[in-house]
Amino acid sequence: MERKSYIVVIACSGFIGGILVHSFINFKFNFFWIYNALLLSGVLILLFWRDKKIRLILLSVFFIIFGFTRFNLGIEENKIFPNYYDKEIKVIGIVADEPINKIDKQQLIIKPIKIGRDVFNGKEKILLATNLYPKYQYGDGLEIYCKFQEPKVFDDFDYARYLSMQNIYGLCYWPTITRTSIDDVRINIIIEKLLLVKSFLIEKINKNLHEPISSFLAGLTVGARNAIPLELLNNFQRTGTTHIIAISGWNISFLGAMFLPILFALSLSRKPAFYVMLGLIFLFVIFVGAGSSVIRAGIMGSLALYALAYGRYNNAGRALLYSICAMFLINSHIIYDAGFWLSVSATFGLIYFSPIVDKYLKIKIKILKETLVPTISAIIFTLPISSYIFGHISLWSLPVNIIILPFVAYAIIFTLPLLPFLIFFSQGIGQILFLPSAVILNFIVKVINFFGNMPFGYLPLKINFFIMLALYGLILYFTFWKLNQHEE
Amino acid sequence: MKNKEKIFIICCTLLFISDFSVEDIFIRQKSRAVFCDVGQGDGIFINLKDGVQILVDGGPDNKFVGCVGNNLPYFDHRIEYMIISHPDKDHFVGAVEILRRYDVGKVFISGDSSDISEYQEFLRLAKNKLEVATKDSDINFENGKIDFMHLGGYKDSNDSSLIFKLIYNGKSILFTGDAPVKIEDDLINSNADLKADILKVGHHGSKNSTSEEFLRAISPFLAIISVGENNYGHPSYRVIKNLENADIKYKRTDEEGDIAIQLPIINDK
Repeated sequence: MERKSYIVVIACSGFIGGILVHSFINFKFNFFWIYNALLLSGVLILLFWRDKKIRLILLSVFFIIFGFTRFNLGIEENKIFPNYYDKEIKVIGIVADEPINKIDKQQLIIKPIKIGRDVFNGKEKILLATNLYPKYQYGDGLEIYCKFQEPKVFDDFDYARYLSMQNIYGLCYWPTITRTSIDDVRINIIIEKLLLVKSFLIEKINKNLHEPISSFLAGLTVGARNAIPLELLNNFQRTGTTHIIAISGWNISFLGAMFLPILFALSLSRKPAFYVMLGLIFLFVIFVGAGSSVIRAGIMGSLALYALAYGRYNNAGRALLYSICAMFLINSHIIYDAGFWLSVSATFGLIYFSPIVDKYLKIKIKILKETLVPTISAIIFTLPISSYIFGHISLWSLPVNIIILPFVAYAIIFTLPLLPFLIFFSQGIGQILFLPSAVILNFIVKVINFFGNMPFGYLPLKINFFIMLALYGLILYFTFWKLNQHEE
Repeated sequence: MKNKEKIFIICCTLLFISDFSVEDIFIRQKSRAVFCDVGQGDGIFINLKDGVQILVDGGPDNKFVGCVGNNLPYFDHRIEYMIISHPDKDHFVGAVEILRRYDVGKVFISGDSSDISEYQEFLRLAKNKLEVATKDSDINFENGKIDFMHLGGYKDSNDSSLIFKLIYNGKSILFTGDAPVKIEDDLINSNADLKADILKVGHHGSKNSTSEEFLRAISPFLAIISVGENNYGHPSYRVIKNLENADIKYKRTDEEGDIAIQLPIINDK
């Protein structure tokens, strides 16, 4: 049993390693070579099956090549779009995802069906920026005239690669749009209905609360991609709290941690309680539209919850490894997603570093300690990577997160149970029911603005890739050394 | 240990509630006019005692919704009057979202048409509340009123900008939309009572508005320029010079952010 899981760990690590290595090579290999390498290592494994050591080495080589293959397959060819770059084109397509409402524009992801006169069958999509009104919805058929543009690579940000994660390889700015009906394209009816429910709820929240509380709360509870006012958004960044404004693994694990005692109180024992919790998280993820970032949040949240509730960091750690593998299998390009890495490192910190912090933090007030421990662990583990990605570190990150995080969870808890009933409530009653959340969020916004507006504390500090790796090496060494001590 | 936790929770609750209610009572419910920093555009929120709110224009995007949200009392989701000076994008787009979220009483417009897609949406949402402003459509409230001094109906939408005066407790603010000098001259020649304590400078400080004569006729003690990043050279050097020559203090939203003026106005010139 023990040995089997050992092999799975090696397989997963090899797979992830292969993807990592390939991501540094900007080249699409001929499949012939990769296929043969895969075959060769497979044959070698069989030949050396008897020798345990060599077998393990060959096994990891096999999975490294397998990771290589997965990444290689994931590189989209994008053969057709380049023919149209910088040309005026007519596209017929459908809105393929929930529209993103920015403060000054709508962004739509379009799945083209026809470009010019040619029928288009590829997976590639187009990102389109248009006026705030009229509002478009998932599944709308559109006829679009625009100057087609290639996503750019900026000095400090590879926009093209970022978009490629969502299969977007073309841009249209402020096109002429007319609605058109498209018959033979099937949209996902379930997603369509869920998005309708979601937009209904967002509308209700917006009608009952003022900005910026409304956008904030809609983001926390139904995963709205509303436009949070820019200054506030900057202050979130300056205080290292951007992770709370969306449905993140963080919020989910916190919510779970607060719901678990309720389930225990209903005389469920540990295991069933945890499974019920997983079910609730699953429903929640579906309910908010099951976008890829929300699914990730659901997975990471469940893992962290498991680690927090049971303290079995080795099991949770292994589960984290498997989840990363699964996510890479589905889309290997998330390797370029900063959010993915932040979320992985935060979860890793939660799982492995929490027991250490827990031991050294001497605080008597239980609810305070319960939030402090994971906060500190996650922040320490995300520090190097956020410095590498964003080029800044925030001195306020720790104190601000400590002040606000516990309360964010309460704001969500006071709101979630209300949502299904919003349909029945008149405006006045809605405002009273939202009051507890509003009072909490009002305070949080003030704290964030207070620290965000401080002239210092948000320091430019960009470390390069290798320093980041070295830092992680150090942190990991320290963590496992302490954990070993702990166990002994 | 249990006790400590209880005290902790009670302290937090008290802190939140006091923070919230202090803000609501001592800031949000006070009478004032807030010239919102909406970037390049106009968006003004006016709150009067007895829960009367007036919005003047709506800025070029949804930034204005944030400003309104920051200033409305928590339980107040009704905006009594909305005045859109003219249908240019930098004056009304944010008002569309306001119409979607809030219960708006009456919407005054210049009556000019525009085929901008956002304006069509605006007209659709405001349908039953629309009123094309006329000289008779004065808005009255306790201790004050709004007087329309110049109305729409011109070819050029800037010429059609509604010009009106908010009079409250004997003090006044003049709003001039994007009206150019020739409209200003017409007003001076018509012997209208232009005197005001505060002037919302016309057309974001454009060189085509705010003549010296006009400033003399108004003689405000404070001028407010609602302006953001732009390629038009707003506010122009000439307008700034005119203000300085006339010894009028001025404030800019691009430098100061939202500018709040307590009502009734205290002239501390």
